[in-house]
Amino acid sequence: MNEEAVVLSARNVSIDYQIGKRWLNVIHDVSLDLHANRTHGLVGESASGKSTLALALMCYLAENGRITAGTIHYEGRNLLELAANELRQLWGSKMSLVPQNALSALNPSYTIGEQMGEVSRTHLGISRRESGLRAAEMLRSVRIADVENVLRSYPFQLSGGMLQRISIGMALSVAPSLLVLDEPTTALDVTTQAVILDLFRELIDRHDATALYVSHDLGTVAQFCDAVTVLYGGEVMESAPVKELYANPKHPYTQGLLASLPARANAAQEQRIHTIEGVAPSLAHRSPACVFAERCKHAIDRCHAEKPPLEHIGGRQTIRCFRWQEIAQDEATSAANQAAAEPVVRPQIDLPRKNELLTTHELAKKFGKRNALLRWLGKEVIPLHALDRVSITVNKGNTLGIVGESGSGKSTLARVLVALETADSGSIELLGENLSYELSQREPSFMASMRLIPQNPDASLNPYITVGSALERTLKVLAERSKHSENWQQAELSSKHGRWKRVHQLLKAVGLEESYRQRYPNQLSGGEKQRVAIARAFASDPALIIADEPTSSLDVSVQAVVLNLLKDLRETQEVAYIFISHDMDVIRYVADWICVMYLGQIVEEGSNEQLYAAPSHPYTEALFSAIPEPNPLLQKKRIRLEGELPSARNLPGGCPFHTRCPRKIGEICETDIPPIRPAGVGHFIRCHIEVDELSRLQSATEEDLQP
Amino acid sequence: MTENPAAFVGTVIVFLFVCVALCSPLIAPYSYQTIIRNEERRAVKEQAPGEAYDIGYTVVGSELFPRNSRSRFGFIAGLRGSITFVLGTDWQGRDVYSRLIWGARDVLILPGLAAAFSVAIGASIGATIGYMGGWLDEIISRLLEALLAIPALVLALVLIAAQPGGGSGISAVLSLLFVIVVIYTPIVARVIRSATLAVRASGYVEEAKLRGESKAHIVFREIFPSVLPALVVEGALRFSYAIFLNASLGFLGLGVSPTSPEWGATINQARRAGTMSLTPWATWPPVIAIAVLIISINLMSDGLRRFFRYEGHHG
Ligand code: SF4
Ligand code: SF4
Repeated sequence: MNEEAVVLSARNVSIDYQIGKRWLNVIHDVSLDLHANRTHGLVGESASGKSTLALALMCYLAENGRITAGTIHYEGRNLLELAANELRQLWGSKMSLVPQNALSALNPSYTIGEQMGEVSRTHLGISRRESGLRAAEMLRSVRIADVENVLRSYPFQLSGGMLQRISIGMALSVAPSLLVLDEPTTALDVTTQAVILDLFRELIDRHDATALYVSHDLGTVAQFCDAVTVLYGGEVMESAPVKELYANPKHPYTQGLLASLPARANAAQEQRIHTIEGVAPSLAHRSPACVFAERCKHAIDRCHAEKPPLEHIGGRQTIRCFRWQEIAQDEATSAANQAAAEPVVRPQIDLPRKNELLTTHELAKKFGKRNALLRWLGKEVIPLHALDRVSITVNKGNTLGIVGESGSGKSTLARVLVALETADSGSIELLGENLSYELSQREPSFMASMRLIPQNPDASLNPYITVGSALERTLKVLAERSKHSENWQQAELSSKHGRWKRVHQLLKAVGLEESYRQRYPNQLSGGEKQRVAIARAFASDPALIIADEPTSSLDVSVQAVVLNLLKDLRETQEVAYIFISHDMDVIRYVADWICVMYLGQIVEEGSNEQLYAAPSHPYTEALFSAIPEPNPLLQKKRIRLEGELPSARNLPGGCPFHTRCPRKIGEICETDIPPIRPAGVGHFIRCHIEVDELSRLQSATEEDLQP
Repeated sequence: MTENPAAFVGTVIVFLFVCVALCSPLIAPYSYQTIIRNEERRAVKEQAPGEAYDIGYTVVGSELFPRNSRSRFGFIAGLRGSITFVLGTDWQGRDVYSRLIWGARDVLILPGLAAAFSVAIGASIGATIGYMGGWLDEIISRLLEALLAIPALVLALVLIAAQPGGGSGISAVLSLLFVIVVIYTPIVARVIRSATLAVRASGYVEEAKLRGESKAHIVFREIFPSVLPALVVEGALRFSYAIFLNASLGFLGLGVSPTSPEWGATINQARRAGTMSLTPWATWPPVIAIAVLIISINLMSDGLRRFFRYEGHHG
């Protein structure tokens, strides 16, 4: 098959889904070509229809879905004309799917070995013994070391990364020519994701497979794909080779989407992320206009009246916009103007231990220590170390970023600080006063001055209480309790009228209209819910807000709006943040001071600039290297963490990172707790390697990478 | 409700049954124990000559049975213009229609009360242990599970046997109530416990704690609305189960009183007298009524469940 051959070609495909009694048009007039041996990315935000489309390209639709128009040609045959058994034949032998959630795709009551044997027996008709051998071989091909053990395990006993390896192994075991990857790494941590994506890349190349990679993450798409199609509201906005699309996006939506990435703002050293105003269109009604018209800053009257056609503009590029040529010109001129403008400089930040707002000293927390009944029943409980002597400092008006992957203890830290969990030892001081570990014993005024923005806005708003009542209640309760804050106008808030006035102010401050007070949470979008949660956190005029992954459940364009809002509020409300995230780009964008956590310990601490420059802790280094860079032209140094995150029940001795550390220097890492080494003003690294040595090692690797 | 016609019909039927029970004195032509003597029938006949059937007597065992020309036993068809003996009379000469209507009270009231008590007590226990957790939850949950392991009817028989026998009137009612409540409370408690557990760790309950709300506020204002759907659906389900259990006990002769017009007991009386095949018209109405009622309640609770799920997530 030559490189340029088109393996799958979809023309004018429309798909309807039945919801209740109505048919909704979820995909409209999509055309797209997959070229042999290439990986094609399909990106879109939630409700863009990307997964639906990807599965439909395999002719794989749910019961309530149907393809209403178009053709899908696969190796010369129109899939829509094939009989069910012919399709099944194709799925089994030529097309494979790697699902988002491998755990739900595997049968929980059979071992991995049984299921894999079953697949190859039915599709390849081979004997039991042979299929067993094949399964083992396949696991080895996806670099699973402990094959025998994995074959004997049930799905739930394995980690997410392991399951994803198995599912790609199973998908590739039938030697498919088309592989559909439906958000295969979304549920994984960045360092695991990096390893898995490398593996996928290698396997796809080795099998000469054509792949369709569905993702919401523009970073992984940039690193993983050869060409990209951007979907919005069920329509193709733009298709282009990956380098072209990222370097030179033509469609206003693509431009907006890329600009809303924190990584882009960081790279350009900008203080604010560009955002796309408005909300995604509802699927309930397909408008006869450009789907993006409501949010497009380039829209003209024509855009609201008719739908632009999907235009082929040469070089494997398609675009659906009336004005792309004019826009390209405009951008060129405005870019020239901007280049002349002054570069923005980050404001100077305070060093730690000056102007302190909150400090913790050697805060520790273990889970599962005290279940008296279980102990009485003779069951031994192995404690889970969640926080290991964590000391942090937050200065007034600053943002402390805490970054780490799952299991790092970063959320536990947030919960211990606000006393949703009880610390075991250590101290928490707010404004110089010691706080109790127990929520019930905390001074109410401290509860008002330290507030939490939870991770999941869906869960944090009571579905049966309106936005307004929730805010009013918060004001009432906290106003009664908080006596110390000066800005806190007691008199005004003691009357119902005064409180409602303040509710309106709060709504306005987070960019919601007054009428939102009557809404129930289920009448809000994800971004709006998070704004309400933010308004509620700010209601008591707090000095410190702890934001636990406040944007991780949101789309990129919505995340940009929320991040900007949080930044603005920091200026206007004079508040400090502890901002917790797994996303290094977000942290870099918001934080002044950063702590990196691994297995409940802070392994590195420093200012934003210090942390992003060498030397850094080997874990931080690996974390940076694992972030998918949303610029296909940039190549990062490749440091991959092999092995699984150790269980927090069974912490490795010495340095907790020694089981995966690529820079491990020997036995000392396994036996001795590493010292905390100063690496600059306020910059600390917890490692056995000398700072100078780390610095030398890390700049060396960088040079090796230079082409 | 228009989305779900079966649930709508079910709800309407349940409502009708309740109305009948409430208005039985107004609807029922006779009391449930009036034995309609031959003279009365004759009187009826005289009022509207030629329209009632001839009535005679026949004797089975020591009982005196009315008889008409259509069958050996006293089936009296309705008289045109006045509704009398619509469903005929039973072997003792009691009006089947009147007994059916009076019976609705016994069928609905006791199980209704039992369901209400089970839900109230079960919900309190469930919400408390669900919210508190810890050893209290551990112990009470095990106790409830132990009770749940025994089949309902067996548990009922044991409990009835354990009570001082021969009760009548109020004490019989109370003891039956007690039995049904003991049987269904654990089920309700478990359902409400798990509903509470699901909400207890939710973000909005934590938020309420963080702003320093009292336990009472958290349980009643934050948790309760989320548990309410489970509570209502559970209430409807327990109601139908209680009716069933009550009728079963009535049929086994362990009901409030063996001679009550409660439908299970009525069927049992016919069975005991050996007249199920002799006066089948007297046996079928309570059988059908109870089946229709229970199916209707189940349709209704199914509708409630869907309605609330809908409420909880979209509307
Ligand atoms: S067609 Fe008009 S509204 Fe749509 S993207 Fe282009 S300029 Fe914007
Ligand atoms: S102490 Fe050793 S294992 Fe730990 S990070 Fe440093 S080099 Fe790696």
